[in-house]
Amino acid sequence: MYKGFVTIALLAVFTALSSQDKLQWSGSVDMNVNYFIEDTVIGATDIPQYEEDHLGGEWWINFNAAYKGYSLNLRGDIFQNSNLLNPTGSYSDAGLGRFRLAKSFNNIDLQVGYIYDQIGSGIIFRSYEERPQLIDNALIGGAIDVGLTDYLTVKGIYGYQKEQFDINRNVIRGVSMEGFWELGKDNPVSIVPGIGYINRQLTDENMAGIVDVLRTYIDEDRTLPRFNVYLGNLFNTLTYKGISWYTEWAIKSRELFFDPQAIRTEITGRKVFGKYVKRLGSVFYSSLGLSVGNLGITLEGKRTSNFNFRTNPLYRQNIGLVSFIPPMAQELSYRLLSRYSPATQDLSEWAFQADFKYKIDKRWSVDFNISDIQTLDQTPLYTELYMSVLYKIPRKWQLRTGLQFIDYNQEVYQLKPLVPRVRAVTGFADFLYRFNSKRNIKMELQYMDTEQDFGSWLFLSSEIAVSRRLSFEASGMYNTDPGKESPVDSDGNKLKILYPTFGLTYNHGSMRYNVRYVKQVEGIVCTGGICRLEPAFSGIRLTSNIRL
Amino acid sequence: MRKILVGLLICMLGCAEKEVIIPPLEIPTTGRTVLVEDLTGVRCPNCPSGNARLESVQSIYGKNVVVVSVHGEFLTDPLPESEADLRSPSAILLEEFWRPFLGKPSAVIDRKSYDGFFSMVPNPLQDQWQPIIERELQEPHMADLVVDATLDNQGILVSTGIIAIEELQDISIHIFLVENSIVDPQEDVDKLILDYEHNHVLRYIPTPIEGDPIAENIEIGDISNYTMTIDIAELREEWNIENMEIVCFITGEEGGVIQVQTASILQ
Repeated sequence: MYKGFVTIALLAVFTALSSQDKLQWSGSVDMNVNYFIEDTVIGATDIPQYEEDHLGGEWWINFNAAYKGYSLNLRGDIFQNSNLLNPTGSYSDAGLGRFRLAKSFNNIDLQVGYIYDQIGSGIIFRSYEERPQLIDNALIGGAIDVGLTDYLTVKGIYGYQKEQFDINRNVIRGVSMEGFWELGKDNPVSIVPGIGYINRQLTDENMAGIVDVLRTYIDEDRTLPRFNVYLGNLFNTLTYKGISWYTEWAIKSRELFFDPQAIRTEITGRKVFGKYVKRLGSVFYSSLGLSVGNLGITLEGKRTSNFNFRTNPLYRQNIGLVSFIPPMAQELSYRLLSRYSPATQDLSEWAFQADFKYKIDKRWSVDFNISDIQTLDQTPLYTELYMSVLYKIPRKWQLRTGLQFIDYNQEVYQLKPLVPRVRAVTGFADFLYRFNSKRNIKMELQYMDTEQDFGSWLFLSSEIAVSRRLSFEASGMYNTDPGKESPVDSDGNKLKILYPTFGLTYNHGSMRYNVRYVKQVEGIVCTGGICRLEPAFSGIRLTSNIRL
Repeated sequence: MRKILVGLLICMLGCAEKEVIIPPLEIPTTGRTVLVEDLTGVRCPNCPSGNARLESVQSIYGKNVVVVSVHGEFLTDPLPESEADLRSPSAILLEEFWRPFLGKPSAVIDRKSYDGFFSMVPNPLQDQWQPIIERELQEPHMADLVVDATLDNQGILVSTGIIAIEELQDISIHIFLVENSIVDPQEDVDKLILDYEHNHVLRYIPTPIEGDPIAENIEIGDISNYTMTIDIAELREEWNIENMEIVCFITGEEGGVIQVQTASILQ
């Protein structure tokens, strides 16, 4: 059925496009290649790439075409000995990663194929791609947007979730309606309200798998599954002058999910953690943005309860996610400041964030951010205080410096039992000097002070652009005061290890090549609010991005 | 709009759909036995729960399910409170043999992968273990395996007999030496269990990891015998021979386990 669908769709698109006399197209090739060099001291070992075939990588080849309202997207994906899907495994496969055909006519937008879309902020449905963790939750099916009036649109979706080169056969279907109204003339208040609905229906085969699992539970722990789960949301964006206020409330019917904190009794009487439960889920999310003169303020709040929604309840980690709950902490690019990032908790979370940006004058500006995350029963998960000051002489140089305090519940976020909370203070300075419009130097200094986990770190980096095309980088992350988790030598003494990186980047037109020698400590990698624990890495990385 | 909201609320409640009834647990009655190689470690916080799951399965199916706990290299460094080191060169070798695996605990059930379940042979999803074991217990009973172990001054003499119920091809035999009732600390999800009882701990494998080939073909009704002596020098002082037993199993041409049996050393 899948191959037939693709064949018919391809025939349809080429028939449609070949009937046109002019075609606009674009393409790109993105490539990552890793050469793995084992380093047992830092823990870069024990995965197949360090022991057998040391070379691995990923390729994404995109082709896009458009003409008179028709558009086509094709993507070929190739994985060879890749550690992207599973950081401790090897994955090789190749095939059609994406096919999408879309057509707009009158007030209707129609698309078939592999669709990336969302309803509201994505809490009840989001199909998306996050390559750094090889998440590709495209909806394989169809979607239609109909503009009923100038103020009201309706969207319908139907399909199945993509699983690498396969399809998860559980049906996902939904509908949403969004409006747009303005009240007043001189300073109008605009509102963009919406309502959404999603249903997922399990196949008989998947239900049989769930029944197989629940059959092994004792009566007191057993819960009865249903084939369908229903989700709905109400959302609105209100805008008035410099104020923008987004609010969303989403609920999920009583659906089966795995609760790792729930206690289950084995048939032998032993109590263990983790079992499938069936509970009503809800998320409330609100974001208020204010802009007054040179001051910008963003306030966010979120309450999440039992909102784990996947294509198949038996899936875990980042597999099969249908809902996307917005993260509630800022994503920082600085190496040490992003070392302990909080992953969104979908079962129990109270989260608040406030962000202030104030531009004092042309040279000075200040950023301040505070976030606090707890479980619903008030177990502290994450607290962050961040402040930075930027001073710049336009077109000449700039210096950003600041401080971050974090309190991070490592036991919850990294599933490491019996470890203390990580309390860290990190100071940083980031200096950019422009020699001229082509040449510049960028330097970073960061120091994290903590007694927990791997202990304290010093990070230094320098990046020199010698021309528009060529730049060199060198950095080092040094474990100045090793902690409990730091590697030890044969006598059990903690090692002060330097993790260096050297690289160069070459840009030419729409092509970019980057090659780096990397030694990287184990850590959490978060992209778009989704996080996972990545093992240490040692080797050479080559990335290239070519736009056609 | 009101109708849409009412309809949506009705759907959300999910009242219209009946819940799926869970059928009662049925215990298979064939003579088939199943081997579970449990990749575990004293620093693995989820391993007590995996172990409890396997104990539970054994309480239902008795000796039809044989478990071997493999303390290889991953998450197995002795804890500061540990008195015993549960690792052994054989366990490390066996864990290497099953790499890559996603994490611990992972269970290798009859050395096979199963359609509709986790795709790798070492399966980290505990909830799938019992359904897979039950599926294996319902597979055809291809052979009977009789194992006998006796200790003397030379070592442990292991004698086995394979009786073919179906025609068997490319048969290899595997012998493991395991120890029960080792009380030593174990990490759990929320605490350190100081008096945790470790059972089926793999101590030594005298046969090759891939097994010792013993017959290309065994006709129905034929008996094939195999004997070996585990040299006394291989037994370490810290092992308690009273708590040790032999796990013996046979694999077929594709490496899957056909039958497994245990035998106490001191009967």
